[in-house]
This record gives sequence, structure tokens and C-alpha cells, in this order.
Amino acid sequence: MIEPTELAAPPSPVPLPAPLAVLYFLKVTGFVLHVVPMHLWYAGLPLALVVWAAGRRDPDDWPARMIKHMPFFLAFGINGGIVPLLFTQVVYHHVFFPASVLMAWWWFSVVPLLLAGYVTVYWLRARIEHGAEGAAKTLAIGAFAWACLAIIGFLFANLFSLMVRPDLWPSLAVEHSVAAALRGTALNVHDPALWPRWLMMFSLAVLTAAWYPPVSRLVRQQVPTVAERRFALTAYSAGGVAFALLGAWYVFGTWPEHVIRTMGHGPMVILTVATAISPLFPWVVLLLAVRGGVSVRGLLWVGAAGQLLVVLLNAISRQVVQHLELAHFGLIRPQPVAMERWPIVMFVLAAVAGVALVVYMLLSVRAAWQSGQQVDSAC
Amino acid sequence: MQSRACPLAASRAPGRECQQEQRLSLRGAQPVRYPWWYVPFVTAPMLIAAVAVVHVLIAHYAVGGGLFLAVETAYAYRRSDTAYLAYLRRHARFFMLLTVVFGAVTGIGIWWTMALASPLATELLIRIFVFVWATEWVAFAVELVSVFLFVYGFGRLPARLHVRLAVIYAAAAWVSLVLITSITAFMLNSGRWPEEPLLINAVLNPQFLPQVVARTGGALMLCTLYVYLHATFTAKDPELRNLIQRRSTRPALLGAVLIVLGGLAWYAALPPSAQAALAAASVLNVLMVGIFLLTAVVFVALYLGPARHPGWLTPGFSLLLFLCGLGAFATGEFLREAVRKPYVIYNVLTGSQYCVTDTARLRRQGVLNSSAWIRLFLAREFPELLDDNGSVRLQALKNLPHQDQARVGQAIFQYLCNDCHADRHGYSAVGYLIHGWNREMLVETIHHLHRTNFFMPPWVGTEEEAEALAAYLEAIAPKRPEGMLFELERDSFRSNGP
Repeated sequence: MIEPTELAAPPSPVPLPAPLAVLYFLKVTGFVLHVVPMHLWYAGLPLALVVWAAGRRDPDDWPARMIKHMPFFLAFGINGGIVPLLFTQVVYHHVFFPASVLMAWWWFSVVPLLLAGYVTVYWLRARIEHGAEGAAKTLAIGAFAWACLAIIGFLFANLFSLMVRPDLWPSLAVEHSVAAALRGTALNVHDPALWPRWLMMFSLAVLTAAWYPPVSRLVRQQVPTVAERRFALTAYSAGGVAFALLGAWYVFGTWPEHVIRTMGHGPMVILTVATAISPLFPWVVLLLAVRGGVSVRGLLWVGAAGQLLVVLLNAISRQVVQHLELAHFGLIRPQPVAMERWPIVMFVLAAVAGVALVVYMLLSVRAAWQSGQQVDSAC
Repeated sequence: MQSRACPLAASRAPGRECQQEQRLSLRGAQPVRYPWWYVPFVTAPMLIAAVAVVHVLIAHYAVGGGLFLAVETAYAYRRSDTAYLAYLRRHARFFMLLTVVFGAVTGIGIWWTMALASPLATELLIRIFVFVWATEWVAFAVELVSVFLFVYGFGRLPARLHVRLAVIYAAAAWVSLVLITSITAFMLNSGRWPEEPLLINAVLNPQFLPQVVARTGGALMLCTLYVYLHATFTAKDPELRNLIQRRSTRPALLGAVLIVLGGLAWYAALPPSAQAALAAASVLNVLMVGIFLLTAVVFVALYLGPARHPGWLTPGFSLLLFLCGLGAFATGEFLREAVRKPYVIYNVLTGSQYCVTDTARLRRQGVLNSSAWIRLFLAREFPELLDDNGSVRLQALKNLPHQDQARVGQAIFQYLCNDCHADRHGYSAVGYLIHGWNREMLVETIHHLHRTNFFMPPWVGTEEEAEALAAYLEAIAPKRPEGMLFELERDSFRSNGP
């Protein structure tokens, strides 16, 4: 009687502020901006804690450096996360909001969890920076911070899986409601796509985080040590194997027939294959960097750029699959567009000015630090 | 391509109906577009308020504090005052932790909570303001980079560059304030946008400038109160403490003046319904007077205290001032929200989560037929109410037993009333308002909601739905309090005496 897709909201009374292509472009670009720092805390924090616990505790070693940088990753990851979420709500409001209200309390818990994780990361950083005694306590603090952030990742995977499965909404709504209103206590744990999707995202995060030890040296204009290159290769290899296995589970075990048909044929097959094999390139680069004999610094920069491409390809594939999943339910509907040019021009100008300001600040500060100019102060 | 849509205004201006509107009407059977989140006792929107109050107290400090750090760092460098620089370094770290962690997360928390408690408002605001929001995101990114470089630049950067970073931060933070204020101001007075839905009309709404002025003033004043609190607890040297107090008092006095000027302009730019609400509801006018009194107390205390006698400022005094400032601010935000009723966005969207332009359609088809989520509930609990197409047969409501009518009425209550009212107990609970009401009184009031109280939305259901809602309210209505003498029968009153 009630079709599940009827539960999706009707078209918005306000037209789209820009053509869909522009909004998709901004959504995917924003996602990449968000996901790189997010990977560094998601997989980087546990990796750093494990290696630190294993005895690599020198302040110059990468675990201590990474933990010291963790608050910045969080700050920029959160900031970057605003963009994809903003454009998701513009493009997919009709499915995003109902799915989030179904699991409202869980989704709301992201706010206190993030606050707790963020504060604890600062605490962890302070302990590592000041060489506080009590390694067990430091590890416990780090583990707590990571647990908060990992749960947030799980909740994101949960919502974004639920969003494209309106067929699951009626049973969840009936189970978690009070007189037609939702309690907000539903959790999409029975969706077979949830677990491989969440774990695959974690394995992809390992791939990005593996690049931190060498790249953080490169940024300081130093050559990464052999140990750092070896660690990066080991972590990348392990992450790559996990990514391949989990990716296979996700694609062959959970993609519906129509998604496999589209992604496995025609022009889309190029995207699918490129996404699947893209980690091979950074892996080969790391292999060469470990063996040495070539310009390690140049090679590693190229490899790091290759990892960005891996992330970008994943983001594009994810967007295409999301679109296909919703299209299957007839939930990609034509929407009127009422575009005003000046707001877009304002945004583009602001973005250009913002990037210019950030580059100016970073270059000026770097130049000042390099020239050793210091103020004579008691600070 | 510059196509002009008239999404919400179309129904008012028949000559301007556009293609989009015609297309939208094809699937316009659900004016109640989203499911309602039931939060017992406090109601879902109060969660927004809880997060928002914390956020504004930090966000305004993030703006005022940026100005403070830029001006004072420049001053300290000019005077080569190493003790003051050392204090500013400590303050900057405190400032960074508070604003970057708590400010950012609670800011996102407002958006998060609003999307859950008021999804349609979020959808509309995001679609209207998406590029304003995106521009604000750029400002936020610049804020982050500059504040990190500034805080970790103490003792490492040349003075000129260091101050420049602070100035960049302050400018970006103020731009953030201006951009976000355009959105909050729009919610209170949407100005010409409903008639002419252009972004420029949404941004330059009548509330925009007054709120920018008031919030800038608030940022200056609140920052000073944070500085006093921080300095009295952390700066041990009395000479240094006096310097900090002397330097940071004037911005607060200026801030208080801006708050008053902005506040008066805010009042003048309120829509008539909001002005009337402010005058009519005693709690609101008490709060309004409270804000002005608290601001005046802070102003006088600043003038008599730190401005004229810097040494007077003790931790206790600064804490008291701080609490007065927080009180004035939190009250102001509460008031701003309260006077908006019955709208979430003035003349665009009601608190019950339907667009103003959908009112007629709702009345025609009834509330139960206007939400797929309610129909899902009815299909499970009362399948006899639905016809073969899944539409609710409203006439059949009358055939339900009284208890079942009340259950259907509860669903109507959730979607039309729970936005502002808890049920039996809790925030503004309906139960508290209908002690001893009988069915007739309830039905009569439901039918004339917006006539008896202009800050209530009109009843948009059908006759049968009003009966069902009344059945539910009757079921939860407490008894009339006993022991009130004028309730007694005249004879009984005479014989027993008072």
C-alpha cells in the first residue's frame, strides 16, 4: 500500500541553486578534501599508537610527529567535511534527511563523540609532546580518542548505506516509532553492504596513512629514512591486500545486479578497473623508494600524488554507485534549476582569495622560520 | 542560463507561475515531507537551542578574540612589552583550544541537530544560501590556518608577519559572522524573498544589518569578559593585570553601545507578529527587559570598575561580569528564537514543518493524507482507514472507538504540535495548558488556533482530524486543580463561607 519510495521527500519547493553537474563536482571535490585528513586520523592514529607502543618513542620518529599533528588533521578534516555534507543535503535531501531522522539519536551522538575525541586528541598530543610518564595511560587516552573517531566512521557508513536503501525504511520506522513519529533509535546493521563498506573505507585509510612517515619528512625538506620507507611499504602492502579483499566482498557480495551491470560494462568499466588497480601505482613507487638508487624525494612526491589519485578515483566511483543505487528506486528525479551567477562567482572568488591567502601565509611563515628570524621575547 | 524560479511565491502571484511550479505540483501530495523525530519531555527543537546557546557564547568570542589578539599583539610588539606578549601567548592558546575545538564542533552541532529536528527548514535554507555557506566555509578554512600559525608563531615569527596573521584571522572570523548572520536574520524576517526569491533579497533582509551590528558589539563585549576572566586567574603581576584591564575595557564599552543600537534596530525591523509576540507574552517582555538590564549592569560595572579603577577587578568580580554577559547573550538568543513563532522561517515555513504555501492543500486533503510516514503508521495500526490506493478515508475516522481516535490524534499531535509542545509533561507541555478542558472546548480551540493566539499556526486538518486530535488531548488533559473557591457552587459557597 505504501511504497517505500513514497517515504522519500518530494522535490524541494526551492529549485536547485546550480546545475546538478556543478553540485556533484563540488560534492566529490569536497569529499576528497575531507577524506585525506580523515584517513590520517582514522587509520593513522591507531598505526602511530601501535608503533609508539612498540618502542619508537623518539620525538623525531614519525609516531610522535603524527600524534603532534593529529589536532590539525582533525581541524581540517572537520572543516573539509562540511563541503560534501552540504552538497549531499542539496542534491539528496529527499533521502538524506529521512534516513538521518530514522537514526537520529545515533546521528546526533556524532557531536558529543567528536567533541570527546577532539579533546582527547589534544590531551594525547600534550602527553606525547611533554614526554609524560605512564605509557599505558597515554595508550589508553589514544585508544579512547580513536574509539570515538572510529564509531563516528561507523555511523557515517551506517547513514550513507541507509540513505540508498529506502526499501529498509518501513520496517525500521515501524519498529522505532511512537504514533507515526520516529524515536530515532534505528541502526542499519542488517544491511549487508554496511560492514564491507565500512571496513573497506578503513583499508583505504590505511593506504593514505601509510604515506605519512615519508611525506612528513619531505615537507620538512628531509629525505625519509629507510625505516620510514620500509614501514610505509609494509603498511601500504597490508592495506592494499585488505582493500582488495574487502573491495571484492563489497563489489561481488553486495552490489545489486543493476549496479554490477552498469559498473562492469561500457565506459564505466574503465572507472571500475582504474579504481580497483589504482593502489598498485603508489605501491610500486614505495617499492622503488625502498630499494633506493633513484631520486627518492622526487619519486615519493610522485607516489604521494598517486595516492591522491587513488582517493579521487574512489570518490568518483562512490558517487557513481550512489547515483545508480538511488536511480534504481526512481529517486533521481529531474529537478528545476534557478541559477544566479553572482553567488557562484562570489564563492569562486572567495575560494581563490582563500587559497591565495593560505599559500601566502604558509610561504611567509616558512621563509621566516628558514631565515631564523626570531623575536626577542620572553615568550 | 539565467532561469528565474518563483517557487514559493507562485501561489500568491498568479501571473508569475512558472514551469517549475507546475512540475512540482505533480508530486505535491505530501506537504508534510519528512518524518518527525519524537524527543520525549524536551522536544527535538530544544536540542537545537541547547547546542546553539553553547555555540554562540564561543563563536562571538572567536570573532571578538581575533580582534583583541590582533590589536593587542601589535601594541605589545610596538612597546616591546615581553610580559604582555607572554600573557597574549597564553591567552591565544586558551582561545585556540576553546574556539577551534568547542566552537567548531558546536557550530557543526547546530547544523546537525537542526537537520534532525527541522529537516525541511534545513533543506530550504541550504538551497537558498548554499553558496553563502560555501563562502563561509572558505573563511572558516582561512581562520583555521591563520589561528594555528599565529598561536604557534609566538617567539618564532617576526613581529610584522605575526601581527598580520592575527589580522587575517580577525578579518576572516568577522566575515564568517556576517555571512552566517544573513541566514539567522533571514529566518526572523524573510523580507522580500517570498515575493521575489532572489538570494540578494534573502541576504539583505531587514534583520541583516541590525543583527550584524548587535553581534559585532556582542563579540567585542563578550571577548572582554573572557579576557577579564582569563587574566584575573592567570596574570599574577598586578601591573600587567591593570594593563590588560585598561586595554580591553574600551572595546567592551563600544560593544555595549553597538548591542543597544543594534538591538533597537533589531526591534524596529521585526515583523509585526514578532513585535506583537514580544509585547504580548509576559515572559518575553520580562526577558527583553532582562537583556537590556544585564547589558546596562555590565556597562556600568565596566565603567566604574576596570575603566576607572583597573585594580578593582578580582576573579570574583570578573566571574560575575562574565556570567552577566553570558546571561544577556543566552537570553537574547532565546528571545530571537521565541519571537519567530509560529514560523521557523518567517512567512515561508511554519514550526510544524510545512510551507506556508501548502496550507490550502493541507486543508483540502487533511494532515493524515499529507504525510507518507503517518500513512505508514495507519497502514499498520488501522488498515481499515486506508483505501486501495493507500489514501486515508477521513470519514472512517468517526467510526473508530474513542481510544483509537485518540491514538490517531496522537499521530496528528506529533506532526503538528510537538515542534513547540511536549505532550503531558515537559517543555511547554500541552498538558499544562488544558487542565480540565472538555472535548467541546478543545475542538473549538483547535479550529480557531491562530485567531485566539496569533503566534499559533492555523489549524490545517479536517473536521474529522480535529475531533481525533481533541480525543487525544482530552485523554492527556489533567484534571482542573481543586480547591479554588470561585469554583464552588453558589449555595455551597453561601452555606460554608470562604
